[in-house]
Amino acid sequence: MDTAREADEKRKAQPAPRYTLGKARSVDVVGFVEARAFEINALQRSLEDARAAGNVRAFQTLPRHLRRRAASHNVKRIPARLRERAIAEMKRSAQSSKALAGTDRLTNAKRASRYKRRRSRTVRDEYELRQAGKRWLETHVWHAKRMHMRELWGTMVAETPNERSHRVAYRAAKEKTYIQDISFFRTLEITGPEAAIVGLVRRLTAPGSATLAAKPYITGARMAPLALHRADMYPLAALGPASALWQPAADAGDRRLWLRVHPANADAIKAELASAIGSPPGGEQGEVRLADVSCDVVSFELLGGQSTQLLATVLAQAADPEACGSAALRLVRQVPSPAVLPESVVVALRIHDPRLSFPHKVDPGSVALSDNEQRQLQNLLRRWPTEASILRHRGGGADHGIWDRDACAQGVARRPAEHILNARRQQQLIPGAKLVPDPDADVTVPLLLVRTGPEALVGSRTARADRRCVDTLAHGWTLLAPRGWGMPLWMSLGFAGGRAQGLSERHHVGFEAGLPTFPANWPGTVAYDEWAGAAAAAARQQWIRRPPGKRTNYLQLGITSPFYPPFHELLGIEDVPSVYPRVTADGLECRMRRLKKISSNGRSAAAETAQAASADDAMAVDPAPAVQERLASSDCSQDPSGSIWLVAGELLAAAVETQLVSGRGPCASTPAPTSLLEWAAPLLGAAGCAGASVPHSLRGQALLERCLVRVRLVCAGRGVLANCAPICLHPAGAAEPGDGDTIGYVMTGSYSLARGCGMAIGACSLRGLFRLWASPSAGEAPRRADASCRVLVRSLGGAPSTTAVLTVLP
Amino acid sequence: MVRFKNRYVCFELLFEPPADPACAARTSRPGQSQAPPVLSAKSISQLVRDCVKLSFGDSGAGHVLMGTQVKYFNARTCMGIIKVPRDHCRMVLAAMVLATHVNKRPCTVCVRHVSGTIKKCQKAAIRVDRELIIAWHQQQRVRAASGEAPPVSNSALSQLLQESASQISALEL
Repeated sequence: MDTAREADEKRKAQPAPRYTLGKARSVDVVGFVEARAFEINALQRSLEDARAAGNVRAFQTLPRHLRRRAASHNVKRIPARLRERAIAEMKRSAQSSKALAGTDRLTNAKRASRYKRRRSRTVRDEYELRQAGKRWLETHVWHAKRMHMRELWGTMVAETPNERSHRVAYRAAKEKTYIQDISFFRTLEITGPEAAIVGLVRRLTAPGSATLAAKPYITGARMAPLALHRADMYPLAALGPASALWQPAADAGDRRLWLRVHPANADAIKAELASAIGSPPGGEQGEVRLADVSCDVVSFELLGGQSTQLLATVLAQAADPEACGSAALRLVRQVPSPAVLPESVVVALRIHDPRLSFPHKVDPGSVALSDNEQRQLQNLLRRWPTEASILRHRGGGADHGIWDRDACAQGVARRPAEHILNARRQQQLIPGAKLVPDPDADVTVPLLLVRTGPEALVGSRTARADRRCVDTLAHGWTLLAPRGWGMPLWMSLGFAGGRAQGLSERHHVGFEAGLPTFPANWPGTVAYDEWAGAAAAAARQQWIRRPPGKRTNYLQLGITSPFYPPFHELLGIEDVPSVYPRVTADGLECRMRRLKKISSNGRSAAAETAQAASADDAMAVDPAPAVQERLASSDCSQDPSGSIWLVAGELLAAAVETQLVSGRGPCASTPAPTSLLEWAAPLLGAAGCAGASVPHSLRGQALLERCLVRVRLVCAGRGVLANCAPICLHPAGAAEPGDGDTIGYVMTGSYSLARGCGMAIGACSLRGLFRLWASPSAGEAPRRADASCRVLVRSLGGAPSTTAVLTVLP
Repeated sequence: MVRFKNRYVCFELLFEPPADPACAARTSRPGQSQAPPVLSAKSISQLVRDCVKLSFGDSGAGHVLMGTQVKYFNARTCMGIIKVPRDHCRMVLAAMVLATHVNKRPCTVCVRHVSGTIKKCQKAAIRVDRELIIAWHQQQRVRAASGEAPPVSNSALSQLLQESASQISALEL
């Protein structure tokens, strides 16, 4: 025993045998090492050969964004460096094909039909023919090759890239650069005396908010965020957000204002402005003129931490490097994120033709700023100069830049064509050097750079709300250029490293930032009704297409409106816009027997519902007549959405938020408000309420009943919030909330990459928030900061409800 | 279309030293003083087949007979890569572990890497070779410092060793 144990221990005590080379004094040691070295070389060679072997074609080695569908049979679609290899591969495969045996051809492609061969139209003419009824942006062909396009608002808009890019878009918007062509945004130009314009726009906005005559806006140094309503109908009949920019002018004459509006409500705003110009309150006819200059301006949006550096690189070739704007852009190129710079500042630049120094490359190893430049940068950040938005001629005269449309058009007509530039590039001594601008032959481009942020999305200043609500995802730049410079600028931005994305990615990035996007998150506007109605019709079609046995049984789950959030019913408005597909209980039926009974019972009833359904669909597809008939009547009772008061703006949102979190414990000095009117008195005060044509029945209490507040919900635990899900209070006894506990609905709900949990943007009624505030906090002794803001969100699929923390959005 | 999945096994054959009382308990690498065994890919496949038949019987051998193939084998260094069907990979590994003789010479099979692609096995083989060369180089240096052996001063060799060392550290980084 002892010996066995000793032997065990001795064995364990020995170190594990290492495969050393032993004590053999071998003469073949060098041969051993050589053998190993030879083996390494042989294996490495075989690895390299396997990469280039016949099991992978040439086009398969390309990265995702360079792959083309026709590359397998059309050699010209492959980059030049791989073309020889591709031709060799095609020859090899042609050898084994019977059809090509004996010929020199590479593929079996047929000749085009006689019609196509004889048709010698240029590509440009063909493209112009295809634009009947819908406008193509300047960058359309580039986008059409890489993205799914959709016809919206009379333009073909890029919806989403062909590749999967959900996280790519998020990362680009956060750390790198995200670019988007937003030339579909409309620009309205208002010309006239300054006071008249200010008065005109004031009629469309809240009376208490800062007007366009305020100090930073009137000089044209900043872009003013606006939340527009129909004329004199504040706070009802919201139209949506817009941005306004004055043209800087020294003399006292007519001034020009540019209004940048989203195309979804551009028609409504134009009609409203036109009617407001035609019927001024004082009675005298002003000399204010309205024009639509959307086709004369192209715009791009850039987001992301490196967007400033990219812009500074692409726009480095300034016509006048000492000008205030160009100097400022050069100084700020190293800022870590655009959020550091003041919001909505406008920088006017004039640069040389971007095609001359194409392709621009952002230098990653950045050159540090000198001490002098550091000091200048500090001064700049402390006080941004207002002259940055003004262009000056070399000779000292005024340079209107992008505001002077004729000069811009002349520049575009005068600029050299691409083949002339290529001829000049051939003449260069050093191949690949950038072209030097020739003062006689080359033109300069006037640009406007606006540092956009959440203000433009929300429609009001967001200085206070910024830190709580918004991530850096909302801050970036907007580049405005004259017509004709869309493609050169877009290619420069793309080649310098910007990732191009589409509309749905923009919506997602705005959602991640926690901001409401127009039109998908602005309930109470006509544009939202159209958007939500179209989405609801599509969702309902999807649901109908599934076999009845496999549909989600919303009837059983107790969800009456699974396709769109029913805000009108929540606020007690009986009239629902016909754009929404109303579904009765029969429409949500899933059981086969009941379905057969319904269909056999009422053939006439079915015909009626089918007619109504097709009418709904027709309305959803072609909403223009509905808009017209709504605008014709200024009475808000005919426009169901016009009687909703949407709380928009930082001031009002702050008023609601303070009321929501105000304590009602023993330390409260004033007696707690008991009714909705008392509780919401600060809100009414902040709104400075009711304009002249709001009917008397909608003042005070009645107005508060129609009030909708946008909220952001962040999941407290696991789970993702679904679109159109009801937001409910914690029920008193039961586990799951019922219909009576609903205080609002989710508009956009998804998993948030920034926060790592589910998140949603929704809207609650003001009465619902009052009930939330008044409901007893469920026995939590230390009063937490967000105790009054925990709500339940029901799930649309039958899962248990999720708890979420609620914050008010501006 | 059903996809037949495989596993590639990278292994090394280690031979017992000749009957030498000085290094009885140690195994040593081939290429040493004794004559290297003459092995080929055929003998390796014969080895695998015999091991599996010995340990798992006729049914086991029947499973692996069709899919087993020797992809690479180097007689000087005794490194090899075989391809085995995925479902019976563990059986083949177990059999190889129990192997004791090749061509009537006592040996041990040391499995270095198992993976689904041959590329990774090749990389594993390269890594093993490099580490061996570096270990030998260090050992030689130690022995030269202690005076047991003359320093090996072959410039091409030391260059190769430095290159290998830097490449390995780069991989690790």
